[in-house]
Amino acid sequence: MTAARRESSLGMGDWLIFGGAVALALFGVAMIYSAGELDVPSSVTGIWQKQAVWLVISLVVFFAVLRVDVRWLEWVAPLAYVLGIFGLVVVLVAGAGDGPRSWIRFGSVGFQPSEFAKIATILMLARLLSGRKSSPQHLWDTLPYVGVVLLPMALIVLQPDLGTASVFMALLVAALFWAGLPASQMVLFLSPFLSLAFAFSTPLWGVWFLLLVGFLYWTRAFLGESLAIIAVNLAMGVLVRPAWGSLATYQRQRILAFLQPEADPQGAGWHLMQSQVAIGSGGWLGKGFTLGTQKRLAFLPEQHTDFIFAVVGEEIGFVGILLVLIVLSVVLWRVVRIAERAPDPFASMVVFGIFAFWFAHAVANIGMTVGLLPITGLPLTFLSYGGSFLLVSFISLAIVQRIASELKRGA
Amino acid sequence: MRHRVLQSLLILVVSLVVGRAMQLQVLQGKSWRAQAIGQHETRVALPAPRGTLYDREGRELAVSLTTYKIEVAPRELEEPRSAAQVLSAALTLPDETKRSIAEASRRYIVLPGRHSALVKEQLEARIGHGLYFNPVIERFYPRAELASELLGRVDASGRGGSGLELTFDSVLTGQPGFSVRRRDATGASAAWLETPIVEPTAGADIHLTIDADLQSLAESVLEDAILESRATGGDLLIVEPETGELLAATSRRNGRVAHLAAAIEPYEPGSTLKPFTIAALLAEGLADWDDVVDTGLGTYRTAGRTIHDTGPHGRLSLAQVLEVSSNVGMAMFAERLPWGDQYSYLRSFGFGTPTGLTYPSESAGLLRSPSRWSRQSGASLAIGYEVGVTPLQLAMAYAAIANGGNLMRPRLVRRAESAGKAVRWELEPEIIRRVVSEEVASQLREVLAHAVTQGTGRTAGVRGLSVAGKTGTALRFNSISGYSEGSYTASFVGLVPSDQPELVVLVKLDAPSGAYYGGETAAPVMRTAVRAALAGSHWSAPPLLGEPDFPDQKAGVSAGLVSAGGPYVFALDTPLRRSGDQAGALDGNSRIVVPDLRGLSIRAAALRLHDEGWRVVVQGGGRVESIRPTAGTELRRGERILLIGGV
Repeated sequence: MTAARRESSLGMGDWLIFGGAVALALFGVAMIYSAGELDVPSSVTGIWQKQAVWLVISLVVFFAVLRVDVRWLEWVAPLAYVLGIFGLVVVLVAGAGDGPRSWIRFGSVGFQPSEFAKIATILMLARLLSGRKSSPQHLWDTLPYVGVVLLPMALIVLQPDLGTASVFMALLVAALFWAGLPASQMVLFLSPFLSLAFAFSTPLWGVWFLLLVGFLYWTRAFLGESLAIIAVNLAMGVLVRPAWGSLATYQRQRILAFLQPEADPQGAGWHLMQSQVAIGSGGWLGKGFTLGTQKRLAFLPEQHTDFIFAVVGEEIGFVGILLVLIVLSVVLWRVVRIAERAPDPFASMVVFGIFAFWFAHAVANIGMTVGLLPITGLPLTFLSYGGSFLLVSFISLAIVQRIASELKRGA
Repeated sequence: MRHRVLQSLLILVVSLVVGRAMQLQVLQGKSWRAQAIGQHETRVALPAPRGTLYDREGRELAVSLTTYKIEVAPRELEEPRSAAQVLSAALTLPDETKRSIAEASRRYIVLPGRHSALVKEQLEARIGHGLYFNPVIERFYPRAELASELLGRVDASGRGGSGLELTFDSVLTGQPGFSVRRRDATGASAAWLETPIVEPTAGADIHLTIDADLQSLAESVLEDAILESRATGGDLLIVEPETGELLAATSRRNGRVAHLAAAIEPYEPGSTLKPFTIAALLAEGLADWDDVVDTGLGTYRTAGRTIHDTGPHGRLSLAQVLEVSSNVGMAMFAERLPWGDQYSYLRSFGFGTPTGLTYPSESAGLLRSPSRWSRQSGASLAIGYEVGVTPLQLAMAYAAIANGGNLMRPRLVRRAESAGKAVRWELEPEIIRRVVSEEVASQLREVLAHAVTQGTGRTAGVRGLSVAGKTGTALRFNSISGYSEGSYTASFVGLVPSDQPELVVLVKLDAPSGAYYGGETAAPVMRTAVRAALAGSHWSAPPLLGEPDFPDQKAGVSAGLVSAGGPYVFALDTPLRRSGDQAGALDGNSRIVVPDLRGLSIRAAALRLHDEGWRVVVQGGGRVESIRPTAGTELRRGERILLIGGV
């Protein structure tokens, strides 16, 4: 029996992706164990056992989903999307949890509908975009997909959970990119977000706005389209202050903390500073597994979820960070390769959506941990504590594997 | 195209993160580590105990104790309510504080007062988490004000502020240690973890030459004498002439004890300075004890000034001049002495230079060089005027006469011992110079002994002991009115026993009212002091119970002092009454039973034992707790009984 035959008989398309993901998840359990090893009482202590149970559940579900045909997924996508939206509505109405209402509880088990909504949205986007005869050429063409993403996004913003909402934006951008939206249109598509970012500084925004107008002229965009883009950009630039006022305090603090973490190291910048102190003090080889002082003395916040990567940095050092990055990169790149070679547009769109999902989480999480991005509170793919997230990650892994194995069978 | 974009994106992201991690962990690693340590490690200084000051018998005069300031972090307490009860009961807290602890309404509360290690242990056992003890070193003087002018005090920061505490501050001060406290992110409500500690090193202990018992006697004797004579102040020094060691040193000024004025404030000594001019005359061979001058009716006009005696003495030998303390005689003899010799001998005896006492701001006194003398200066110096000497200088000069001619450096400190009892340094008795020959010294002692038995110092005589000594009564100089009649400094310096002196005792009273002659005021004080010292166990003078060498002629002040029943009464060496039993005491056969005096005041008990004919030594104060030998023992009269007080 050849290796290829064994793989296909298991439905396993790519052992490297599977091995890498499971290795990251197991490493995650170990780091969550370490995250509970503190010198002060902590609710995190012993929580690794829960994560291990979730990992077992996720593997079981993984093998179940592995048996699901991609065509069936394509067929079920609208239903999944509707269910996802329904879950998000339920959580808004009857959600549990302090602060952002993102949980649905079944007894002692909690579930986050927003995690499921990610998969559902990926499937929905894939189905809609793969059904097109040609790739979208203009911004007008993107409107339906924007609508599909904006609905769950809006519901999640209402929770409010800006971080997760931004993941949906990443899914949309990735889907449009993969569907073949031209680069110039992509720039225009993204322009409102850049306006939003630059609006904090009027001169900067002014320069950006002039460049945008020049770009519109150069690309000979339609008049209506140009006007719409200019209007949206103007609105972003002008509305940013009222919008800023509408943000929750903790969200504002997070953004401010990112812009200037040293300004208030005891307050809003605390998390960011502590993460950098933990990683920085880890050095080349780290302080040893479970021995990170910043973590042990509870200086490092959210050490099992948002800042698990900082624990890696503190305890295993630069070497640990490098290893995690290498495994993550290999897994992600293999996923991109599968998306590129997928047998049909839907499968390709789904795999690329899953790539975007994992990549967005990894970049947002690691970026905030090392101080390159604002704090979004997004978990690190496969590593961070969180049952729903791990489960959804393994479901998406199963979809990728299924498509990979179909690819092989086809080949 | 898309492949390229994605590849670039992934490479860009990974290199950004790797670069950032490199920057944080490798390039800036050191400073982040420092910041991490700074966050969770706090150095807490551990104060080092200051060295102990001991007297010559190893009794503690100044000690440092570690006390604790207690702080509570109510939110760390396991049971704030019961903890509040315990703390309130143990430390008597105000209600408000108690409530704050019980309700954990404040993060951190510093409790009032300082508490012993015992309280600390008990509270730790009963409450555990949430209490913090900050060690504070405090200075205690177990014998309260005893020798406070010598010991000095520490300032608020615990460093020497005055006296020996100041002089030896660097020796007494230890090396503080530190402990490292690790705190968690919540700061005050933190779990302190045990971490290595650099132990503090205690300061060195210093052993003084002072005898606490003698010092205590000296202080009470001097205080009573000042009260009795209504003096404005006074000094009392007891020096061991062979070694230069100060056994007791005390000064009072205007009812206050601040510094050892005896080392700081010079005065005009008057007649007590006479022996030193005589020593010069004898040593230079310019006069002999038998040389005679005619003092006539007690007035002598020289260099445009008239010198008076207290009465007409007629023809006096040099010895008699000293015995009766004739100013006229001294002035006449001094004319034989070249100024340079007079000056250099006085200088030799230590006048005009600091003695080298290890005590802050010692005065050198004032002795002008002959180039600045007037025609009268020779005579003035001969009788103790135109010169400023400190009582200490005077005592040391007499000690030179007492020990056979060597000027000793006064010694207050014997040695310093580090915490492990290893001797860090030792101060040996130090001979500064030989001033006069053995022979001259011994002749001087002989004549000074006569001065006590026949001359001006009769009231200093102690029964059973030969005492040599010299009185001095000097007009006090006042910067406003000059020398004023009616204000005197009365002093007496005694050497006991006179043949081979073991003690030099200097008593000086400032401006006593009424009887102002040194012989009438200062000398009896000295006598009381010596008698008191005799009872002490630390001094080897022969305990004689024989008849007095001389009748108590001018014992007015002395008797007053005795009947005043001051606290030194216990140290009287002979019974107050029952003189009839003396013979029995001497033959050694009469034994009587020691009574049970427990519960009586020390003073009453001592008086009663004296009445029975015993000698008494006292330890402690207050009421008698135990007697040695125990009550019921048969004991010969004249034996020593130890009373131990409850304090």
